[in-house]
Amino acid sequence: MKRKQDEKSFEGYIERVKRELTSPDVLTFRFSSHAGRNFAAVYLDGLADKTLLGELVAKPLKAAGKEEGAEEIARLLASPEVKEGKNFTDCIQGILDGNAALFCEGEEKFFIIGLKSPPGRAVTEPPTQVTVKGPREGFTEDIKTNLGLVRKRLKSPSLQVEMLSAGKQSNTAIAIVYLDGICKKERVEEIKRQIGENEIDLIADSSYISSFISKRPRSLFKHCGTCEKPDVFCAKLSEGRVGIIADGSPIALTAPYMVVEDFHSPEDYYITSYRATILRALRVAAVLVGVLLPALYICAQLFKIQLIPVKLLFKIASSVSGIPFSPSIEMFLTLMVLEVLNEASIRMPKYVGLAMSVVGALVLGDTAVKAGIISTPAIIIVAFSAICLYTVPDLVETTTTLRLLFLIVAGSVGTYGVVLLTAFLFCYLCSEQSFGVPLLAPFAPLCPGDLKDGIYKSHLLSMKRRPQSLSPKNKVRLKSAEK
Amino acid sequence: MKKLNVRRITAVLYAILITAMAFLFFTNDFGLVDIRKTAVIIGAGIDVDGEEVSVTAQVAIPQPSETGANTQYIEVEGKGVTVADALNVINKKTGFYPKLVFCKLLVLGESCSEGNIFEILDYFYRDDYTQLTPVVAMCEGSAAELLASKMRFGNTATVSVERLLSDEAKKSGNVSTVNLKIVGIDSHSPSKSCYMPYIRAQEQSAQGGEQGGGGSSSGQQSGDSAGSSGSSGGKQEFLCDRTAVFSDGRFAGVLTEEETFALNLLKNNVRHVFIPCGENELQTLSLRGCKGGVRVKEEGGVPEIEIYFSAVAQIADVNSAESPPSISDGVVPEDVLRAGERAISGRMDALVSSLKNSGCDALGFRTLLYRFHYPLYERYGDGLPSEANVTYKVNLRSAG
Amino acid sequence: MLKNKLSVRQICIIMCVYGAASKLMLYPTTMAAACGNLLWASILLNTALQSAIVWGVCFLSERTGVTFFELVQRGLGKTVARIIYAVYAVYFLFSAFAPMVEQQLMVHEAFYDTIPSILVFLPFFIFAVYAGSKGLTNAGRTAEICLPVFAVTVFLLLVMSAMECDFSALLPFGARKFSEVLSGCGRGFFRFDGGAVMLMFMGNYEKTKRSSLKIALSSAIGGITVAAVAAVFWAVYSDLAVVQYFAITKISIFFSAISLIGRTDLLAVYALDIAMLFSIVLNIQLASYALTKVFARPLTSIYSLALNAVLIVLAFALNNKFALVQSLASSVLGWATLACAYVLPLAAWGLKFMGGRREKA
Repeated sequence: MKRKQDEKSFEGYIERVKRELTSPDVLTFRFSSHAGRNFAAVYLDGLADKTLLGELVAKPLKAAGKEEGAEEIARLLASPEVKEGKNFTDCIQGILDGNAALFCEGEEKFFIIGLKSPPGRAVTEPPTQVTVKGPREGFTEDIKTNLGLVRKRLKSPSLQVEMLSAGKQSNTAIAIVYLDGICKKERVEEIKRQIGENEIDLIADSSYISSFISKRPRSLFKHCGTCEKPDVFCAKLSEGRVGIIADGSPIALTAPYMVVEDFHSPEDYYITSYRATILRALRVAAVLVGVLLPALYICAQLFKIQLIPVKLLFKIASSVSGIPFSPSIEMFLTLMVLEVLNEASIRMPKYVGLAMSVVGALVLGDTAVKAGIISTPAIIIVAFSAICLYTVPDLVETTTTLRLLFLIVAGSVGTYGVVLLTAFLFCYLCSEQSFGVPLLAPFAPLCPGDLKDGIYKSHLLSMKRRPQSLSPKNKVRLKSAEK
Repeated sequence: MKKLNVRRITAVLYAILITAMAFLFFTNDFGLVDIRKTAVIIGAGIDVDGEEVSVTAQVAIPQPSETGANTQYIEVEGKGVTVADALNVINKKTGFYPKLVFCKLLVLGESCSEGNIFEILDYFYRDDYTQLTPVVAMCEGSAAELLASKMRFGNTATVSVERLLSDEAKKSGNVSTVNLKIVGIDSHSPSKSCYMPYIRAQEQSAQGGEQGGGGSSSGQQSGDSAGSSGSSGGKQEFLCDRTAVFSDGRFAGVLTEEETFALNLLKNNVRHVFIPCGENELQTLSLRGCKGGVRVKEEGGVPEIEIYFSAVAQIADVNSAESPPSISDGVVPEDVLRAGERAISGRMDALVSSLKNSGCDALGFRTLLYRFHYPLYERYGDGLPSEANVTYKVNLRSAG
Repeated sequence: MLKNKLSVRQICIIMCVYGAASKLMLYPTTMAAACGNLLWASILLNTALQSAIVWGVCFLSERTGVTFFELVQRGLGKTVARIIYAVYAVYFLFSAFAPMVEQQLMVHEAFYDTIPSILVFLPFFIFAVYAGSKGLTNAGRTAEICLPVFAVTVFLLLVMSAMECDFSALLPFGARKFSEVLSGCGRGFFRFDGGAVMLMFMGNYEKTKRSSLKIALSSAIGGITVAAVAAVFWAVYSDLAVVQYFAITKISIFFSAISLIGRTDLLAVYALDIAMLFSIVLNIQLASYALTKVFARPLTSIYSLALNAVLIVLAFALNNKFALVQSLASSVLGWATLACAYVLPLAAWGLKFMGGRREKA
């Protein structure tokens, strides 16, 4: 009994924290009031703001008397975020979150004071979703900033943010964001359940959450939408989706996901519907060309020469006649070179980049052709394919894998293999769902109303209803006079 | 009992599948006839020598080149009892697998006229991998020699003939271009007749002057296996303004240039043609908006053949000088129009007479009767074209 | 849990697209050989018969609201229902075999320049096992994807062949005897199994306003599309049509731009082949569905694997015996089609009346 009382004493608390948090960056700031009452603030160096600790905590408490209770002390504190600790776990968690735990001499209660100021970057334009027209703000790694960016756009009482914590060691804050009255509540519950069911040490990025909530995490196709722009995130919430923001990740997730989403660009909604439709059709065509062109080139060379016009055939035949590799291996090697260059160019320091591009383009490209190792058409096709795939950057992971698969099938089985693999993918995609919504919606199953924002982009005023594929609770999104 | 882990089994199966595919991918030389082993035949000539068929293929051999613009053409000859056999001989001799999918021209030598042409062409209709798109023509002399000719404009013989028999040339009414499909359909129709351009070679001097008369064909015959095109002799020019006609698959004669012109006006959708006319003053009329053809009508229970042609005429040239105001007027005088109509009717009449004499129904009277007046066909079909009662309706209107 | 629910729209698309796609391989050529210039008439006659029976089954489905299995079970007991579904499983298995052989031949001709090994066709079975294990809902969704592919490619191929068409070749109508048209109907009868397909869909969709009419009309549109392609095929090749084996791959080769841009028509054929593949696999999906009812266990992957194993054995056993396959299909399978797609659906109406009387009694 006595020991328990000791533990809840001023020094007992400090001792206990030091026992639990042995790391040297856990600091204790001891100070006294004019009346001689002792206080101690325990915080993590680097995460808590020391200036604020001095200004909002230490300075006001100088006036604290010897006998004042917890309520009076809390009133003296100038910090807007003061929480009374319920138990010792709260205390430890608060410190680890970057806040300060304040202990007062002669008082069993303690306070968690919001002084979190983790190092982070400012709100900038996201590098993966650059737009010419439209907002340029992007999410950052800080969950509070991200939620602020969302709140800034959705000033609605319906906006609900449910906070969870995931990761046994990381205790990463996860925010489930949705619009009450539009989004199906069951979907939110399902996501919460699936996140809760998985125990992992660390949630380093939102992609971990994406794997947790996917029914088929091993699938080649993703089951969660991703976005880095708060405007896109809010637009998706307003359609009836659930948003997930993880602390430490600038990529927010949205669910349910449909493949067609990735063919949409944020800019489509800020330009004319005609231009947007053309651009979307172009993206679809580009992805098809990017995935299928290397495979079809192999098929044409090995199995069905007729696919090539006769004059082009002579040119290709001239180019490939001195090449020591079979057409399929030549294409495979060229593709591998491209992948290596791509990988290296992303990771290498910027100042080496220029030199490496010269080596990549000139030495590997030009010299290989001159030496008769790789033919010119192969390089043209691989380069064009790579450019095409980057018209839909969100699908690049999937499409580059598919391109390789198609290439292998084309080189081994031929054109029929390509057709079979396409049919296989259709069949596979038709059976895949993301939170009850088929991945190929609104095309399969067909939702005629949703086709207004599929490949074809209708005018904003004609999209009066929310996507039916998402089965939103409130179906109407626009009420306007007929124009 | 341990429950089967379907997911693991599926993953293993996929891994095996991908490995097998990858193995095939990296070792895919399992008898494929790829782009490097293919002899792209751009044109073929067929001659018959007794019981033997000789196929001469003009083959494109792309040469290694950085710019990819270097192609050599050679003629390769193979002999066999059938066309397929001869093509197989080419494969044996050269190691190249001859593919006819890019063949755009098929020339039958004069020797083919002795038998039924479908004994030779049968291969092309039978083989699933051969299309019926190549243009078919018959040539004077040997097809092998024609393909080996050294051309005046530096092209291969195939390219030169192909240009002469192009769709544009067909629309000018000068050549009666047909492909394997048309030949086959016409021959298997109730008319049982077909036609194809008749190619004559003309030797030209190095300076370009004409040396030999029409019909003399030269050019070195390629060796047993291969030879570069036309290594000696004068340079050649081809004329395709005549037409060979066939009845029941057998050669029935050659139509003259005028008859060929009339045939083209009626059978092809000609676009812009020229025709000389006039008696004292000679004019060349330019005809546009041409509509010509053959109709079969029933007159008192008897089939009546009507050959019709209408066009808008303009004077293209006159053999006498005219003043600018009369040229700018642009109206063709009535007498010139009538002279033009007479010239066209005359050519058509010559064509019909020639076809009647040869017993060839190249204009398809019997087919028309079969399709549009079937009851009459059963009674009168056999009498056509020799007993045909033909009327001509030619109408030229002045432009302007 | 495997899903077998379909929407009326999906059934309409299946009837139209899959019904037509499976008949665009060798069917026009066989009809050209049987009926000459009246090939279209024979196709239309069979289409009319099929549409009528499809309408009948749809109407029955609307009136009863139960699956065919439940209908038989109510009238004749569970054992009989299982036996009938086992018969249907066998029927659909063999229905898949004939178009599969045609597909194999078409692949050899249209996808390769030289005759490839039979092994090249083996990946078809990998796809068939996978797709065959999916339920009817998946079939409906793939049909929705196939609709635009089918419509665009057929339209393109028809447009590309338009310049070469001589529709007067379809004349005269009176030159051939009606018996030839009937003989053509008989030869192609096994392909018109819409009644049997519809029996399997029975009770698996929610009826809507005029759904019977819509489904029957879709089936008719599919047949009319086949007849149109066949007519164009004859208009392009006339008497040579009988030696042009795969109409859809041949009708547009005379398109003038092909010499400049290569065989782009083949790309359309390849895209169309996706619909053809799904139309063949639909039979396996239906056989799988029937077996699920027979064994009352949804082990569709195993059923699909077993069905495809039988198909592989048949494919190897009857390799290079195409004439035999065709003659067996038009005779034995023709009678089987008469029984499964026409007689049994009519008998189902009888069961409905029996059930009605029993309820009244």
